[in-house]
Amino acid sequence: MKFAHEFQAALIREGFPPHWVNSAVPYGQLKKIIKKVTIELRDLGLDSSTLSQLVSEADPNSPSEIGENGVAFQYDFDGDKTLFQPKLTLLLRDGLAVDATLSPDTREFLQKLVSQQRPEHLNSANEERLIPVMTNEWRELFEIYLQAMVFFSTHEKDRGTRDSSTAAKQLQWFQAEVVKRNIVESFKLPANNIDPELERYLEKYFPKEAREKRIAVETERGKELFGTTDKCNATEQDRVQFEVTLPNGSPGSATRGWPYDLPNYRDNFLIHDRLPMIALVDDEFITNMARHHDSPSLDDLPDEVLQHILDFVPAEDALRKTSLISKRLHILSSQQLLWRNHCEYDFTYWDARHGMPDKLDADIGEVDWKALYKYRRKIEQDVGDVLDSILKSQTGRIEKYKNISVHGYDAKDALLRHCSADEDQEDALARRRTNTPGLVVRTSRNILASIQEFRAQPIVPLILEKYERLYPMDCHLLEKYICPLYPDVNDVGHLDLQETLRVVRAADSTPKQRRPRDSQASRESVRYKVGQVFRHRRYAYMAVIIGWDVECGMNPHWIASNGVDNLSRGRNQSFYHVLVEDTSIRYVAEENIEILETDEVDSLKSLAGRYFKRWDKEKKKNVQNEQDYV
Amino acid sequence: MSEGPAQTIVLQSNDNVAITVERKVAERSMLIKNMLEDLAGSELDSAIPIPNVNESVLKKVIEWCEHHKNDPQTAADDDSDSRKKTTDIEEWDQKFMQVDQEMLFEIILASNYLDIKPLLDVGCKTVANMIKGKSPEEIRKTFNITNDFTPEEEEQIRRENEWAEDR
Repeated sequence: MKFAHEFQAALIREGFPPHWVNSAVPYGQLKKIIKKVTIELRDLGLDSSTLSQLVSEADPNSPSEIGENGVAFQYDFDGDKTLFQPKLTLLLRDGLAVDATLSPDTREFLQKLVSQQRPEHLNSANEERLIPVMTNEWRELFEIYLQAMVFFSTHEKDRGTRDSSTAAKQLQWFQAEVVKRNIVESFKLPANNIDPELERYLEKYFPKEAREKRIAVETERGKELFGTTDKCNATEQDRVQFEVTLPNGSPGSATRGWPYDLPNYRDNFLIHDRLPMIALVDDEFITNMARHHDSPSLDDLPDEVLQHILDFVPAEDALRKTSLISKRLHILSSQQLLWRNHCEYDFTYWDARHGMPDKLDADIGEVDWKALYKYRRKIEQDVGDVLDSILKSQTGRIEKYKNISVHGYDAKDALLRHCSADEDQEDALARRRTNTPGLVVRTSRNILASIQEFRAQPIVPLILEKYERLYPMDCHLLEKYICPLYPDVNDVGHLDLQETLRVVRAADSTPKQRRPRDSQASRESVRYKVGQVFRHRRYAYMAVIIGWDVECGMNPHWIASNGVDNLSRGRNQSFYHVLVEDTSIRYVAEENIEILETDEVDSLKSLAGRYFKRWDKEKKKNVQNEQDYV
Repeated sequence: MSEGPAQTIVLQSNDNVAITVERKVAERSMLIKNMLEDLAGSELDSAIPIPNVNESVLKKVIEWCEHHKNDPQTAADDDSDSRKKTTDIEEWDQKFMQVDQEMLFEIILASNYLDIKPLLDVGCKTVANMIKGKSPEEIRKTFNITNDFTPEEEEQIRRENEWAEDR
């Protein structure tokens, strides 16, 4: 949605200060708010279809007759232009949702709602009475506070400068208004005019003597605390925190702190006795109170702070842990903004098909970031699994590499992660090694594309040579991209290529054989071991031993052209297959080998992974990859 | 520009304790900094009230500001660095945050209110690190959160959040 961007751009263009531009309600956020309202209503069992059904049955002009029609609701805005309060009123008859057109779920929900609001002991006494959870006094107080606008403004028009003196003035107005309307007084319980119903209730559950005894006990305690009773009757300033134990057997009875006003002790005591009653009205409220008083809870922090905390929680924990803690944390852990950040910062590379730049640019609500994140994590996991199985078994690797490369750039992060595998990991070298080709897969796509363009067939043999030795796992790419480039299937180049591919495929499906040192000759004459690193005595290159022969195993032509017989020990000494730092594989006579007692050689590190799984620091040699005997 | 050598201001906690601090220290709070800038020119002869923050918390917050007074100020709306999501906390801050949970939450709330972003980050990271490696039940216990899920709801979320789910 580009509207949000244009809106912001317009604000900037018209020279509004930057912090205003940032705090202007963007379109996307507005949409989010509307969605939030919808979700809230839906959670109450009021989805949009139910609501529209109800509104058609309600006659907004004669609310008094609604009872006749069964169930209906009313929706209106209280207040004026600057301050309004949306209000949704559901009208029910006899506490039951009687309309037969309501779905059974909705009716059940409404009934539950009604029965929750109507505690049993009141049901019998007075059918019509509901105990408000938030009293009118509180409501009035909040309304005045909102009108006072001490710290913020709720409307757009009023955007002049705001300084502390205005705020102070507003605050004074608020305080004056509270005093004027006598709100503080209305919070106090009338001392002598006790609700008869309350009195009946108290008498039934907490007989008068018990109460009086308690008062005596508590007064004693007060004396102990403050020394004299005089002080108890002293001044306003003597307000203290005091602990009162609730009568036994009442729901949720526990020691709770309560603002304790000594001069009006009896009144306060009535409030305490009233607590279990409130517990019937709203059990959750009481447990929350108890909880708050016991120890601090993360739940006390506002959403914005919890969101900030969740920003630092790893994505995996957000999915598997924090969202399971409570409903509130579930909602906060599912916010698209959080997942957008995870997508943006947890991964570096995205395959072109996702169109990431557009998505990042789009309005937050347009993209299901959480689903996208889960999808990427799934790929990570798959790539990891495939890599593991490539290391475990030496056959069928071409297919497996192909499986990785279908993910395209989506796999790159996972591959890079394995590339930087921990030194201590058992098979660090091998992991690093197997990944390099994975990355080459992608670069080769580009190379291949250019081949296609220029028809530069002469370079194919070059690629082939490199491929056969180092990257046999890219077989399927050659089959897919290079083979079709030959116009004639009987072309010599094409047949060569086919043959090479066939050999590689065959090798891929045949497990390699281990050649043990079982003969006496091999044990006695072959001095060096596979995995050892050496320097060539004559040419000074560094290499690692990957195989051996008891004596020179090459054909006479090779022996002649390399002057083997000119060596001091001739052709009847052991020879070694070695992997050289320049990636070539050579055949070296034992007398030319000078074993190095150094630490791991960097230039060989990236190559050695093809044959070895890690570097053994004590023995100064590479450890073979279990399944890759050469 | 009336930058006196060690200009001080007085902050007043919500339990009416006045604390004198160096202006530079107090200006780690963007709220106070912006306020002082808005009041530039006028004499500051009375204490600045900090509602919402009591003496012990305010002292703790000032202790942090004191130690970090020479840190480079990050731009107010620079979100990118905190998004890097490293949960590493420097050693001094780690020690500083070794407080009971109530104080930890109070520090977080105060830094949020006073707009001291680096301190808020440290606090949030501390909580995030406490979440790591714990089961949901342990997290609830640690942070005193009531489980308001039915077992069915919990199971459903568990299923939803598996990544073995293709689009």
